Amino acid sequence: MATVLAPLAGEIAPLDAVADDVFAQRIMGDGVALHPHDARATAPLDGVIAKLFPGGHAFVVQSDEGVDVLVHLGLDTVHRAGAGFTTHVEEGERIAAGEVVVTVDLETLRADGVDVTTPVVVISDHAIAWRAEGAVEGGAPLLALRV
Amino acid sequence: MSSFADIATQVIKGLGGAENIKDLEPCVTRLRVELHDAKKLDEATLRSAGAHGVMKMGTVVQVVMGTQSDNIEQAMREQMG
Repeated sequence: MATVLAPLAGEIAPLDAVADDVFAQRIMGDGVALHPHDARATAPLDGVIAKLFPGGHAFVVQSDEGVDVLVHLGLDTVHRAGAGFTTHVEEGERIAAGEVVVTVDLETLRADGVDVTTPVVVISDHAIAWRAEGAVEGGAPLLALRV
Repeated sequence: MSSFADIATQVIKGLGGAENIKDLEPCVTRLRVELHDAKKLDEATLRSAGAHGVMKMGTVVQVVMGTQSDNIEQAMREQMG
């Protein structure tokens, strides 16, 4: 089993409720969505920053076991071109679960009308054996995967 | 595994050729493409290039290529000139 920690504190919602078909239809994989309370997005597991997208609106952490987790900070945030996001690591860096990857200016994003719903998606096809429900603290267990 | 250039060639073909692509934009998980003629879209070719899904909304199509979408977009631009 591998545990995926919540990258942000927030309310957990099913992916079906996400206003983006790629996530809602689980085309990239299964997971959950977070309605974030917290501005610091942390690594959901120990591993390497396999992808840090330009502007910092999304990242992928890959564990040594080959689990890939995508954290997409808000919907359609590619159009922000980085505005509202501050990155703290580089692509390819090793990272421990709970370390800060990106800081998000939630107030600015919300003020600009951005849907800050954050899909957390297992893109490596590992089955989810358990998922947290309700509210979650940042760094608390969010998903358990069969590895 | 195919190179990004090979995948890009296939994706361009599936989108009806470079001249059919009006606008191209990479996202984390997908390519958003605006086409001149949506009827030239060949979903089977896109799927064989590795698309997880293809979503159409009029002339705008989203080709879900996974987190390599930005690399594929760059290779497409090189080929489209």
